[in-house]
Formats: sequence, C-alpha cells, structure tokens
Amino acid sequence: MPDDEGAPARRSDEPPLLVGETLQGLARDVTYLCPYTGPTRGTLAVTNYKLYFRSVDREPPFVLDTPLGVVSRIEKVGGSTSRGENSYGIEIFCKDVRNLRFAHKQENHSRRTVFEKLHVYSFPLSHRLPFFAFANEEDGGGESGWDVYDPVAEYRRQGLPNESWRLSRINERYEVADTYPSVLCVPAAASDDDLRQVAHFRSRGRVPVVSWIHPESHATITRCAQPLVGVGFRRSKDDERYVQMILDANAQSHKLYIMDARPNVNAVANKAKGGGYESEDAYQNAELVFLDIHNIHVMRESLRKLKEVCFPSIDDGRWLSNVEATHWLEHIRCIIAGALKIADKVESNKTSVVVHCSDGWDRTAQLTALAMIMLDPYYRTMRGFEVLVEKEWLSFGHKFAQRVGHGDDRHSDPDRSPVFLQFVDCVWQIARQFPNAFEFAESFLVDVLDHVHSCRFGTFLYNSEQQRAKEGVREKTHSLWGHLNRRRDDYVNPLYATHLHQHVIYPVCSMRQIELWTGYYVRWNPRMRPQEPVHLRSRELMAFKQQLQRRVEELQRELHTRNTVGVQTPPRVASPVHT
Amino acid sequence: MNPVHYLLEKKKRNRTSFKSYVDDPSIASIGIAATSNLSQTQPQEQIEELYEPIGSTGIPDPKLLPGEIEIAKAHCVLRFNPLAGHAGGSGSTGVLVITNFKVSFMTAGSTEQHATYQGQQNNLVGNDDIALTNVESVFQVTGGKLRRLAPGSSVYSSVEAIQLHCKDFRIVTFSFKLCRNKENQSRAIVNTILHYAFPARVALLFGFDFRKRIAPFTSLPLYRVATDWSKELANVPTKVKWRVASCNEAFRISESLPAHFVVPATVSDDLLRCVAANFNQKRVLVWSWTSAKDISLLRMSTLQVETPESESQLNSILREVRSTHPKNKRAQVHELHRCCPTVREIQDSYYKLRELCMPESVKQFWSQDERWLSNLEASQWLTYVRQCLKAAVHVCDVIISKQLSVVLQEPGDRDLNCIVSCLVQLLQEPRFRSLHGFQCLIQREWVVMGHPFFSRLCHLRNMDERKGPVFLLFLDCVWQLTQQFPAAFEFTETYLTTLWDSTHLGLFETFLFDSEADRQRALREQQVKLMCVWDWPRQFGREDLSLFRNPLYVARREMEVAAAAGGTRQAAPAGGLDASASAASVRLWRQCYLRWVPLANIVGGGAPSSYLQQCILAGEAIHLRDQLDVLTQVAPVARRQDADLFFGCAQQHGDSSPGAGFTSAFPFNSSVAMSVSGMSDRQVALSTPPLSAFVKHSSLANIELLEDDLQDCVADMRL
Repeated sequence: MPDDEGAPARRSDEPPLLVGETLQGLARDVTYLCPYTGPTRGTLAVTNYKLYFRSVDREPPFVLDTPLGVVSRIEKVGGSTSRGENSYGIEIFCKDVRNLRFAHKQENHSRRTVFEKLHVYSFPLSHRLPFFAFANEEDGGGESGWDVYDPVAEYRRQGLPNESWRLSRINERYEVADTYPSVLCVPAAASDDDLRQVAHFRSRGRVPVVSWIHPESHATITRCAQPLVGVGFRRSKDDERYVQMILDANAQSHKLYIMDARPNVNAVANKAKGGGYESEDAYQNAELVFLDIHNIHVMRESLRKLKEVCFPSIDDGRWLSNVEATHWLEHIRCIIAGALKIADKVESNKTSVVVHCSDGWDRTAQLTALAMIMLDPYYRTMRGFEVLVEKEWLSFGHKFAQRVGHGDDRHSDPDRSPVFLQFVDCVWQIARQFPNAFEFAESFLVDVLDHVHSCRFGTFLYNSEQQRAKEGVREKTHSLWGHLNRRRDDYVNPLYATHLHQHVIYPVCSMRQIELWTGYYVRWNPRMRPQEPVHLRSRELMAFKQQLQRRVEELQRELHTRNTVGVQTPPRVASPVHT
Repeated sequence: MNPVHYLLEKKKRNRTSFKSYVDDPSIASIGIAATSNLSQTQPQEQIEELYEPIGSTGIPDPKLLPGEIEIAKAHCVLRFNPLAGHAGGSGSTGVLVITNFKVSFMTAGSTEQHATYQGQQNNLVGNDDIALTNVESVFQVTGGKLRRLAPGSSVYSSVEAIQLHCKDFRIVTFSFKLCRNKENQSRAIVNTILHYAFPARVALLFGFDFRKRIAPFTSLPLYRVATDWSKELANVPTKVKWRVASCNEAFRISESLPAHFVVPATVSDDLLRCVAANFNQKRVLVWSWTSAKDISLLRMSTLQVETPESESQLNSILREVRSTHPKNKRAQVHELHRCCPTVREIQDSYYKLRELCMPESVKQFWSQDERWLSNLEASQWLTYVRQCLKAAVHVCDVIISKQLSVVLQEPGDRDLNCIVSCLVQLLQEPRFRSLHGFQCLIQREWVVMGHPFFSRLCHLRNMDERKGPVFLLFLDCVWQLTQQFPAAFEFTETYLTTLWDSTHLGLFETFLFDSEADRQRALREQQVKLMCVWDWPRQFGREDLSLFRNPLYVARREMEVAAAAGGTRQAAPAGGLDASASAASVRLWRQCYLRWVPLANIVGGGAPSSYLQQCILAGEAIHLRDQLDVLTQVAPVARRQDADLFFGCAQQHGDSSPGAGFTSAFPFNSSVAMSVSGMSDRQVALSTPPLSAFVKHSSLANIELLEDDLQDCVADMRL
C-alpha cells in the first residue's frame, strides 16, 4: 500500500508518515534478506503504524512498506554466538502469505529496540494500547465512508418492508442477539414476542432474518444460526411456526430449502454441544441440504499449507499437485458451489432459502454474500460491494477481530481463520469468470484484504456492531470505504459493461474454471508479476477512447457555438490529440 | 452443385430442432420427448413416436465439395448430446451421410439462415460435419460398453451405436436404434468410416480427389523461390555475410530441406554438398534469423556418425558461422533434445491431455474434477510447454545479452528446432507478431523447412509410431505468449485454435505433406489441386475472419499513431518480450481443449466476453478518431483502413434479432453448450447477454446520430 498522503517534510532516511503516525524507532545498517533479489542493506524504521525499510546500496532504492497489522509473529533469529553473515536478526511472520527477515549487526545493538518496538506496535492490544486507527488523523476530504451503509436504505432498495416483511427494532440495544445488527427484517406475521421465543431456540439468539429478497418472485434468502436441538432432539413449536412464516411470505412456492453449510457429520456432531439441525419431520415443507463446507480449523490449516507452497518460491515441477494437496481450491470450489445452489433455488425455483452453519457468522456469511453477488448486479458495483460487506459481514457479526487476530500476539489462537479471505477469493473467481460483470478490478479486492489487516481504518475492527458502537469506531476512526472511494478511478474495471449482466450470473464450479489467485497469494514473487497485465492494456485503451471522446465533444461544442453565432473563423488545420 | 455456389452459400446451423432432454422437467410441455433409457423390449414403432418424425423431405441434401461423393447414408439416426454418455441420453434425429470427405449429420432445417452471428462457420465443412481426417478413433457401443474398432477392419453384424473421437477433442455418438433397416444401414455406415477415415495410402485421401481450379495464392511469400529468401535477407544488418543457396533444387542434397535456403556467404555449394553428407537426413546448417545487432540464429540436425572426420567438417562449417559474427565470436550450439521433449513424449502427453479433456459423461466429468490439477500435471503437457518456452527464453538471452550466435540442434532438425526457432523470432521480432508475419514465419520455419506434418498428424492407418502433435505444442506455446503479452500479437486465440482445426481438414497443401520434395512431386507430377491454408477467405466469411484480430493490438497501433501525430513521442515499445516459463504463469488453453465440454464452459462469460468488450472499446476509439479527422481537417478525409474488428462487421446486422447467447467456448460450439449445460431455457435466456447487446449499448450511440449533422456543419464552414 504505497500511500503518502499528507506526508510532512522529512529526512531522507525517515519514512513518509500519515497524519497521526509517529516514528518510534530507527535502525541503520540493517540488512533485509529478500528471498528473490538477495540481501540489501539499509535503514529500518518502525512507526506506530508500519515498518519501513529503505535500502542504501541499490539504485533505485528498494523500499519495503508494510503495515504492522499484518504481523502475526516476530522472532529473534540467532544469538550472541551466531556465526556467519546475516545469521543474527529478526524474522517476521505475516498474515498475508509472506515472511520478512532482517539481519542486524551484533555490534550495533539495534536488534533489541527494533524487536521491542515491533512487538508493541504490531500487538497494541497485548500492550493495552489503542489501534492505530484511533491515532490516524488523515483526512482525504469528501465522503467519510461511514454513510455507505444504512440498513434501512438498503432494505428499501430491495423493496422492504412490504406486506410480508417488516423491519424490527427489537435488537436496538443488542439484547436479543448481541452479535446481530440493530435493525432486523422479519416476517410481518411474527411479533416481537415470537422473535424472543425463537431466539431461545437458535444459537446465540441468532434468529432467521431476511438478507435478500428477489424483486419479482419475492423468494428470500434468510440467515440464522443452528437450532438448539441437542442430543435430546428438542423441538420448538415457535421456531417451526416461524420457519413456516418465512415459507408463507413467498407466495410462489410451497417449499423451503434449509441450507446447512456444514458437512452432515459435523452437523450431527454439533448435537452433542447442544446444537444440531432441523429435522424434516419437525419442519414440514422444508428440505434440508448439507453443503459440505468445512470449519474454520480446516480452512486455517489449508491456508497454512498454501503459504508453504507459495512462499518464498514455488516448485515448478510439482506446482499443480502441490496446490491441489492444500485443498484450498477445493474449499473455494465448494463454497461457490454452495452459493450457486442457493442462487439457483431462489432464481429458478422461486423458492426461499434459509442458510445457516453453526453460529451463522462464518460460512453463512460467505454463502449468503456470494449468492447475493450472483443474484443482484448492485452488489457487483463498487458501492454495492461495500454495502454487502457492511451488511452480511460486519453487521451480522463476523468476528473480524478474532478471525484476523487484530493487534493480538497470540499467533496460534485457534479462533483465527481466513474466512473473509476465502470469500474475497471466491469473488475474485467469479469476477474472473465474468470479466464484464464487476465494476471494480482485482486491485480493489487486494486493497480491501490488505486493510482488513492494516488497522489503519476502523471498518474491520472488533467483532460485532455492538462492540464497534461501544468503542465509538464511527466517531473516532476513519472508514476504509471513504479511502477507497476517493481512489475510485484506480479501481474501475475498464471492461465493466453494466448492460450485459443486469441479471443472474452462474459461475462454473469445476476445477477446470477455478484457479489459484496468483495476484494475491504469489504477489510477493517478482517473477510472478505479469509483464503486461491485461487490465492495464484495457485501461489504457479506455483512457485513449475517453480522451478522443472529450476532444470530439469539445470540437462539436465549438462548432455549434460558431454556427449559432454565425461567425466564420478558419477551421483548425490540425489538432494535437495528446495534450 | 456449382462449387462457387457452395462456397458462397453459408450453411447456418439449425438451433430450433435441437432439443435438450437432460434433466429437463419441462419435457412434457415441449411435446416431443426422448428418454435416456428406452428399454430394449419397447416396440420399434412406439419408440419412434417419441421422436419427431422427420420425413426425408424436411432434410436437405449434403453439400458436396467438387470431387466429393456420397458413399453411405442412414435415415433416422440419433445423435446424442455431448456428455450424454454412451449408454444413451437425449439428442436429435437426422440423416447421417458418409462421403469420401466427411461424416455429415443433417437435421430438418439445417439450412436455416440466421440474421445474427451464430458462431464460427467454415465454408468447407459444416459445424455438424466431421472431416474424415479429423477422426482419431471409432468405437462401437454395445450394451453401454465401448469397443474400439481397428482402422480398416469391418463389422459384420448390426451396430447399436458408434462413437467418434476426433483429433480436435470432439466426441460424437450416433445411435442407429431408430433406423428402419438397422442392420444394413448401420453396418454400411461403420464400415465406410473405418475404410475411408483411415486410408492405407496417401493417394486415397480426399485431398487428392479434390477437383477445383484454384487461383495461385500470392498474398504471402511461400519460400519456394529464391527471391522470397533474398527479401527475407533484406532485414539483416550486414547482408553480404549471407547468401541464398539454391544447390538443393530438385532436392539433390536433402529430401527434406527446401529448394532454396540461406547459408553464410563464405560457404560454397561444394562445401555444402560435401558437409551435408555427414548430417542426419543431410540437413546441413541453415540460417533462420539475424537480430538488429547482427547476431544470428541457425539450425541443423546432428551428425549421422561422430567420427573425427565428420566432426572436423562440422567445425569447418561452424567456423564460417563465426565469420558472420560482428566480433568474430564462436556460435553456441544448443542441443534441444537435451532440454525438450521427444516427439514420442509429446504424443504420450497429448493422449493424457485428450483423456482429461474428453469426458464422455457428466459422471466422468465430475470424477475427473476431483483430481484435475494433479492429473493435468501428470499429463506433462504444461511441463513440455514450459520446456519449450524456457529453451526459447534461454536462446534469446544468449543472442541479446551475451551477443553470441546460436545454432539449434536436434537429431532430425524438423520438430523442436521449428518450435524453438519460431518462438525466439516471435519474442524478439515485432513484425512476426502480426498475422501476416506469423504466417510467413510458419511457412518458412515449418512448412518449407520440412516439418513432417503428414506423419505427425497421422492421416493414414498404421502410421502411429511417427505421430505426435508437435505443431499443437508450438501453438500452445504461442498462446501462452499471447496471454502474457495481450497487446503484442495481432492474432487471437481463436485464430490459433482455428489454425489447429485446419490441420485436421486434410484439404491444404500446407499440412498434407512431410516435406517440400513430397509437396512438389504431388502438386506438379500428380496434378493435385490443393488450397493453401493461408488463403483464409476460402474457409471463412468476414465476421469469422474479424475474430482473428486482436483489438488491443489494433488499438495500440492507433495510440502510437495518435501519439506521433500529437508530437508526443511515446517510448518505442521494446522489441523483445521477456516471457515467463514459470509453472504459475503457464496455463491450460481452455478454448482449444475444453470448448466441446459444455459443463466446463461459462455461459455468458469467460475470455470471449473480455474480447468482445475490448472490440467495442477499440471500435469506438477508431470511430472517434475518424470523427476527429472530419472535424479537424479541411481536405476531404480519406478514410483510413477499416479496423476489421468484430463489431465493425456485426453492426451491419443491426439488432433485429436477439441473437445467440454465447459461452466461454465462443465462437465455437455455442448452441450445443447452451442446450445441455443443465440450465433451463429461461435461465439461459436471462443470464446470457446476446451478442447484439454488446453493440446496442455502445456509448457512442448518440454520437452516431450526430455524425451527419456534423458533416454538414463542417461542409458549411468550408464554404
């Protein structure tokens, strides 16, 4: 993220700073051990936001500019007895598929300070410090970004409330479900008391609420947590009635699909912990489908293997089988296939779908958000995508803080998992299959992911809407969306053709059309960068066309004025196209 | 039928008679149903009722080329939809005709005309036809089991169904269960295919019966005369160091080298004759290309036997190469057989790739999906692509960075040398990246240099040991380059795929021979009339040809012109391309290999949708530039050459018809993919943008209307 807005004047080896960013430590004569271009000597600076290395022995200088939010683990390498060049230093393990290694000279005694500063500002939470987002005073001007998402406006866009659905403020104080948003869209037939009853039978009180409604058929996508069936096969008349209300709200179909994101065995195993799944006996007219998506631990392990395969270098001879062995793409395929099933039921069968996993904040968010991207072209625009993330992920309590491990030094915390990364990967896969369907380009997705880690903006901090409200994130920090929207032109997909994909897109869920997102996972390897990325060529072409168009319009206006005024001036002989 | 007539008439495929019965709950409403598991006990009449009875009147006669004759014919043949599996499934009924050129399947309304573009349409062979030379193997289907039938053999009893596996990865299954005279008809059809698809001698190929007067093809140098070679030498910085040797006229020195070729000027004909004797197939050292810095690329075969005498002769000729180097440095010899696959390995790998890309049923498709990546890796195909690219990149490095001449060496000098030499020239020389330049390159380095196309493509029976799709491997390497450098090549992947398809037609002198000597003999002595593949208008109409052109390349040229006119000099694009041969940058060529597999293709998406959008952008830019010309120039504007991009042609159609939806297999296999991709018609209609939608919403629509007014304005001003 090369960004130096509002950088004050600085000394040559000091890093450019954001407003509110302060230099915390600087070590000269440090060597960065680049796995691709070899060791390079320079100055390493640590601020309360980033680490910044600038080489002194290369022209142009090699610069490494990395927010400390991506740091997962810092380790000292080598001790006082270490022999050999570059064997004494620091190794930094990152959350974005790379490691950084620096070598210090023992006699400089620079390692200790660097290590300490890195530790403090990479893991502010562990040192009882605030996130950098709260110190960040950058002001890009224009829209703040906090207004991108307004739940009521978004429901209104979808045509809600209507005669079958109403908006409920029952969770205004986050008392029914503390991980849910304050505004819920529920069947009009269900009273607030009904909701309270249903909440008792759903894990964490996460009752089924509407996420999306089909503009024509009124089939809905509803999300929730698992029912608390338990080993005793508990039933809840209220819950069963409530599910029937969801079915009744859609006049087009007499059936309802309940999509359980988990593999069947996992759903059964959850009964032992008091959870479980809806039995078809209890829920008449509902068909239960298991989507076989694995849990957060399986996904974390898969990404760990993927990192081994991708970083630092790849084994050309076994590349494809190595990627296959990580099962990462298989998981991606499975998630897209699940979302496709949901989209297909809603679109083709006009049937409403209820989606849940265990708690309904990981796999459920992946599935509903992806299904909505397939079904609704609005979510394929830049603003629509931001709304989607705000809605399906942030407001419905995907635990970003826990899954990413913001500012926390417990790198082996079992609650960490790349759930959101997987979602963005799936979006990339769909965008790759439909190159005209998305308003934004790949770089937009990469930057969103980078800022999920960076802690420069308040957007992804904390685990729920309730916590963010409590911490005053909206008042005290900046929104990522404001930052991204100001750079809109950089992110526009030059091939976006609104008129072509006004409707549903169905991606192909075969490994033949799913590929590894090298632009993200292998991006640190300079050999992997395409020399001539196709989107740059397309963008160049678009710019050229716009330039010509401006010129033509200019001349047309000129002609028009002249003709109306009736003044004859000699026409221009030649015109420079490039100005 | 009048041959000219035939070429003019565009046979458009029929879509309305194509019915999908796979997983379609609406079968009843369609009215005509065919079920997949018709039991054997069902009376024949009852089965027939399920299909639309097609009288022979509704089905057109097959279109025949001059010299083509009908040999066998069967009515009421059922062609299964792709991926239906050989056990049965749904399909369409029609007439199956076998001629001495093709397997032709015709349904009622096959000749329907379409107002909009429906996908690639070859003038010589219809979309539902299969040239016999394209047939790789024939299988008999009995009780759901496949049995391969030996080429040239015969069957003696009734055949339930047959399955044809084609060299272009297509699978077609014809069932005879509805035929009236099943036993005779099916036997006749199968035996005819077995006999005519795999002739025992070259002269039995249809190409040799093709009777049509063809005007000589002159738009491209064919390198059959010495002047073509001297023109090639005109690009060399120091021309005097090289000369065109014509001592191989009448192929006295080598049977496989061309009549003329270029050698160092100091090498005399006598020396050539003397030295050639020591080389495999007498393929002595021949010049390929010289860089702007006067460093050269040459090629030769290995020595027949390595004796001190032969080696000293080799050294003597290498000394002459040294004298062509600006600093008199020794040339490096690259033995390609040490770093690239053999023809045999290419063939084995191709078979594995075929297997992966030709699933017969939906079940097999999904079971392959589980281990897709590791199976793809195990096929070694991409590894071989990388090896060739790597060898080319390495040679470029020696020529450009180390400034040393390179001699490519390979036992026969007729396979890998062709690949690597062409790749090096494509990477280093921008003029070979134009359509014209690329065709010249193939003509020079492959066709006249004696790549054994005929043996490698295997159009005869019992030739298996020499076959191997070396040319496909090359096209795949070029495709990788077009992906890595999307604006550097004038031609598209559709062009490359079509070029590969043309090798299976068996109609072009380009691909029907092993060497110039064979070609000359057939063309001169046996009076054979064959077309040249580079004469593309014989195969395709304007729309199809426009799909060969890359809008990004066209636009880049425009930008260069605009920049030059505006006085801002853009940095000249670097001549050399720095290709990557890393495993993560080498990918599967989906269009070429997966286009016949409906489930693998994206409805309304994929690379074609990028391509079409780029065509729009480039078309609009060119249109605007023309307007600028009108607005800014006093003199009447001489319209610059038409860009010939797809929508330039398509716009003529207007948008009277909704047009066909397209898939990622575009422009191939469009309607088939839609009918079986498992979606209902409604889904397809909703999710597939019609081609015309691309044009309809051009942002220039309003400007277009203004244009006439503007012309008037400008005219007024001039008065």
